[in-house]
Amino acid sequence: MLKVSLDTSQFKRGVIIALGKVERASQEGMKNAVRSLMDDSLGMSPSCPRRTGAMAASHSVFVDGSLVGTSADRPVTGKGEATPLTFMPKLTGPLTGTLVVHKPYATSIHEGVSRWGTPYIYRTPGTGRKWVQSKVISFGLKYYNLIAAKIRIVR
Amino acid sequence: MSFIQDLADYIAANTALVIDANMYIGEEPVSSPDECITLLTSPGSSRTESGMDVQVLQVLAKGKSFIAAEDLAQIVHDLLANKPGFDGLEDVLYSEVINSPYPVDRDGRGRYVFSSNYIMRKKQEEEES
Repeated sequence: MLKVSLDTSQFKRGVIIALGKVERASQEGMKNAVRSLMDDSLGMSPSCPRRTGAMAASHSVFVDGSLVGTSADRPVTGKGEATPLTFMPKLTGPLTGTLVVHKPYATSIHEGVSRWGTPYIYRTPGTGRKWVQSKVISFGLKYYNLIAAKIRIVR
Repeated sequence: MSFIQDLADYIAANTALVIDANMYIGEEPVSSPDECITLLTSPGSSRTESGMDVQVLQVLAKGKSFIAAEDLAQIVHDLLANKPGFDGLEDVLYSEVINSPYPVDRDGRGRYVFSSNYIMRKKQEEEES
């Protein structure tokens, strides 16, 4: 009788290590992607509308529920106050990047709707509705590539 | 003719909505009825090297009651959502939903406002040489 045994423990160990490295690299890549999305939303036309700058200074980005950046360092004038969200419940599902604009009127203004007048009037040149959505559509591939770039260099 | 005009014609042909009566392009007039929709193009539209245009579209539906606004938004959503090809809009290859209708706010007249957003992928129009 011929009995062959194969020790796969090293292989299994290698796969587990690789999976862990890829997961960490994915999260690092997602950090870069959501930070880039936030910067593009604040800096590229149509950018975040501003009167006092409070809303522009109230953006936060999270990866898998952990805070990885805010825009609180943006200038705010007058009675405006930066109120970026610093905590959010952990989301289920693998690798989630989230951009939160933490002002109660943010959704309405993003959609171009205002209860004080429709459509909403944007007073600062270069700003306008859809300051986040337009970046996701225009630069989606760039954000994917930022994630992929970190995974590619895993050794 | 512009794409959004073609799209308005398509919606008018397939629903009870009438252009300039209860469906508007770009801007809603002050004298609009309580229940109406407005079609808007959104930033993010682009031309790609593959010969496909990306048109980003927003539909704002309004109604005096929450249900009326939602019903109106849903009529247009059912017509546009995730469809491969549109009869009468031959250039449009398919549509994608960015978000289904959801209540945004109430406007100055107290009407409920629902917003939905779509990406329309269409063939590029051939440029005249």
